[in-house]
Amino acid sequence: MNVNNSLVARPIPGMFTRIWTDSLRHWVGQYSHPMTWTGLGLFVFLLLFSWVGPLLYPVSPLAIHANHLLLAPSWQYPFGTDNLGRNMLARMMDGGKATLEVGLLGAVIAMFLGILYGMVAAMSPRWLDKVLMRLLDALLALPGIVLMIFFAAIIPLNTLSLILVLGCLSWPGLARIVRNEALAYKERDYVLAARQFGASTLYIARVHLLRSMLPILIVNATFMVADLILALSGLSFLGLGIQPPHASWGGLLNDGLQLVIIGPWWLIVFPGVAIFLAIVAMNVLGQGLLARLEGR
Amino acid sequence: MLRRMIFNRLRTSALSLILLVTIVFFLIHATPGGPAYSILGMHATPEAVAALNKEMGLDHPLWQQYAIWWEHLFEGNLGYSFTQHAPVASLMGSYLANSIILYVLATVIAIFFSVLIGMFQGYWAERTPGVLIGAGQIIVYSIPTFFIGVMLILFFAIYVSWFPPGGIGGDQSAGGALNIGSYFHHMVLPAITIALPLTAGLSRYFGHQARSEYRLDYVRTARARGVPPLRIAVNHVLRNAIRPLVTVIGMMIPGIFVGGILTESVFNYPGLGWLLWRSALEQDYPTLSAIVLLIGVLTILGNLAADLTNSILDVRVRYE
Amino acid sequence: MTDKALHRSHIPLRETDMRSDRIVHHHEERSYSSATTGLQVRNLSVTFGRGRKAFQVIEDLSFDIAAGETLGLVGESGSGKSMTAAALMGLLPWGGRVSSGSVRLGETEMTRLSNAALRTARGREIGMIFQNPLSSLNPSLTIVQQIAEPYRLYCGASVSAARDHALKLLKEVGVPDAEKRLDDYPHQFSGGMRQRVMIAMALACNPRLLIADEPTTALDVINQAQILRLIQRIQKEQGMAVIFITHDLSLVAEYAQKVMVLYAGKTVEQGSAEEFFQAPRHPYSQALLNAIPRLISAGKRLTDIDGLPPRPQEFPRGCRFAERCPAMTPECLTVYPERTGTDAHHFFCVHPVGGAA
Repeated sequence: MNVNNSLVARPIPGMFTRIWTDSLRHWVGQYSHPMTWTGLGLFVFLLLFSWVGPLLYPVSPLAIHANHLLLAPSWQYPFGTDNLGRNMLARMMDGGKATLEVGLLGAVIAMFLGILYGMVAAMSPRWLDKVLMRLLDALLALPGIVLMIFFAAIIPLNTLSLILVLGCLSWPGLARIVRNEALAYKERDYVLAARQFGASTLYIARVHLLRSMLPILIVNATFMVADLILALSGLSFLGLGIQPPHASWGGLLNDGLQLVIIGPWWLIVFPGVAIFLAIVAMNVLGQGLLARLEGR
Repeated sequence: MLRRMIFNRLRTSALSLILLVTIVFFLIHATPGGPAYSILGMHATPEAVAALNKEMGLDHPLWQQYAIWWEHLFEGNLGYSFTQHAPVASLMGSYLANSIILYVLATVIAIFFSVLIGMFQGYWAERTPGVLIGAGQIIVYSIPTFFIGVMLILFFAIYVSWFPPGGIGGDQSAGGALNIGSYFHHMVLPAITIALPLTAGLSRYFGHQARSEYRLDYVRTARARGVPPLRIAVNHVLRNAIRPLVTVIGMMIPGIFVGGILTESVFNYPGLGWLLWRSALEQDYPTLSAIVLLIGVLTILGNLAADLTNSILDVRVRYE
Repeated sequence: MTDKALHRSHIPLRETDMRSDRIVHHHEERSYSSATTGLQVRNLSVTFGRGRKAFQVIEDLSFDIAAGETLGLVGESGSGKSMTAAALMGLLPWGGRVSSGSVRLGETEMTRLSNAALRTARGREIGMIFQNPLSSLNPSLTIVQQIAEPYRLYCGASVSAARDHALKLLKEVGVPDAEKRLDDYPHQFSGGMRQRVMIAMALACNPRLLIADEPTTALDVINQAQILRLIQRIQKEQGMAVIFITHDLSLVAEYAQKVMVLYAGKTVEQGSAEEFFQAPRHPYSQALLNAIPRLISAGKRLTDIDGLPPRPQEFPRGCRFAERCPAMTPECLTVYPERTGTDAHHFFCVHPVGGAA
């Protein structure tokens, strides 16, 4: 950063905002990659579609039109209608909300738990770290979807419960990454020096370790969102996702696939493409960041 | 040296297994109303529940139940399925076999193509073919497994009818002799469905590996000796790039199970994942928890096997 | 079998060695080639990229090395030394090509060979030793597998004959207990021994030309001297031409008969070692010499050169060293200096050290 190295640091007017914008510019410059922008653009488009879309196209996603069953896309129904005569475009927007909410908020929960667990393991004494890592091995051996299926009959299946359950089941992989990264950074000279000066464990974890890991965490967050959307669509296919009449892209795709023999392609193509785009957007975004991170 | 490494690895796996069994134990007890309700259903009378609790030792304190749970495990007693009217352990045999064969087949297909694609990508990295392969990997990786499955059924089973749309061949239920040909014929589409996303991920990893090997000095030396490209690829690069592959496959086992569950559900393929799904819909908790446990154990053992294989291979190079 | 192969290197490449489509060229070349057995490089240029993005990393290099002679190729990192070696071997990185000039090894025009013929030539005619002997050896192959590889591929030896040959080579380069060490992996060798293995590998088919690219940079002083003497001995025995790439002029003074100083892809000074070290004329050569610590002149300050060589995309129009040159005048920035001096010793500079010729 362009702050003067004089011993007495006098506050310069606007210094802090300048540091902020400078580091932001630095960040953007450092991580700018065509793939990053493509992924980000796609994802923002899907977010706008789901949240701004309903404002521009205020049609009920649940309203049933008994004489407009399975209509192909037209001016009246841009994405067609389903087998109950519901407006597919409205349902897609509604489903996008649910799908992206689960992906993003679930990822927030998973990131939080994963960072917490990984950090605790890295900062605790060796024996405790060992026990925590074995516990992690055990948890990693139970894929999120498997546990999700286990819980499916117990819990009510709605957006909130899916966010909580998917979030709470998806963190072990990240926890291991965080723990390994933290251990690597823990041995760096500047961290050792900070410890010599009496910095507390919490301070070191927060200021030195987490900040150093930030780029890796961001990359993993993007993959996490992609994985959660993929997991949610998988659960929807198993009938364990967001329950009808509420829509999610996975659920819509599943409904469309049930009717695939009759051949209403619009019931498959639109939700299928939407899921695919959401996952691709996040994966591409993450790969772009990763490419820069690895210095390519 | 090697013996100590193996011993250490066995110890960590044993600890993980113990923790896994404990987790599953608590999972069962976390079900609403406890195991008895989930076995008898939510509308069971309190008397019936009490009777079952006594019969299964559920009226004991938690730590005793935990001990009983372990005892049952060692006896191979995984509980009794009230929906299928059979002990869970006896139920699982054929499902487990079907799954293992399918997953191994899919993994072998995935490894073969990953190595092929990865080597090609590594050689052409940063040039058009490498970039195209990279894009293809992200795309395939982003398609939901079940969607791939349904599309394969639509095309190969319904449109051109080359393969059956689902189920399993060889008519095992009738007790007749297993028809190997039909058995594998039914397995082709599910195996491809599992293998596709697996290949996308694995070949990407392997491509990275091959690319970094291609940049190393020894490749330049080999070129300077006049070694032809194909020989460099197979004899020099592949030999080094393939080393971490075993470990990575070990790490991918949970992913294989996830893909397997969805695939088996799409194809109605009577394997472990399909049974898991069915039991979940029927709320058959003894079977559910047994499968969860089994998947966990298989994953840990698979990881162990991968790590051991790898360290033995590595040691042979390093210390022989 | 082995002996016959050992002495084959002095015979020019036979026609049957070449791919049939190349025989035509071969005859053409022979009709007017001077009958040297060494290496003759004329106006060699290497270009990367195409069209408007194209840039030259090496421009207009010419030199001769007779059999048994050593050329010291000197320059900073990035001056094009290793790129020159790669061009001679036909191993330019992707995107690079020899855009003009000729490389004649014996009677073969290397720049016109097909890929397959070029590989054969690399296997038989040219040996190369690299800077870092550990990373230059494949960690998962035993050394016998690596040494014997070109011999089996290009001298048609059987597995056992190749093994015998590898053993003989290992003994020749002075690896103790050679029989036992044949099946060892590279990491089991020390740095000096690894470089000996590299040399054995380079010598497998008795090459006509040996390119040693900073062969001793990664080694300590004792090993350095031993390795260089070994190369010198083998060179004498077999009459190889040697290109010795280094940034260390003191080693060149000791081991080379000819010197060529490169800067930013161009020759700045070249000639016989004797004349060059007596009176280096280019300021850059002088600066390189000043950067060598010497016992006799102890107390005198070592000088280094400020700045970095320009990148190939930004090569200036005039003298490429001008920006860092103490004797720079405006004229240096606009015109590339003419060649001055004789074939035996010439340089490219308007303001040579010691006054104009």
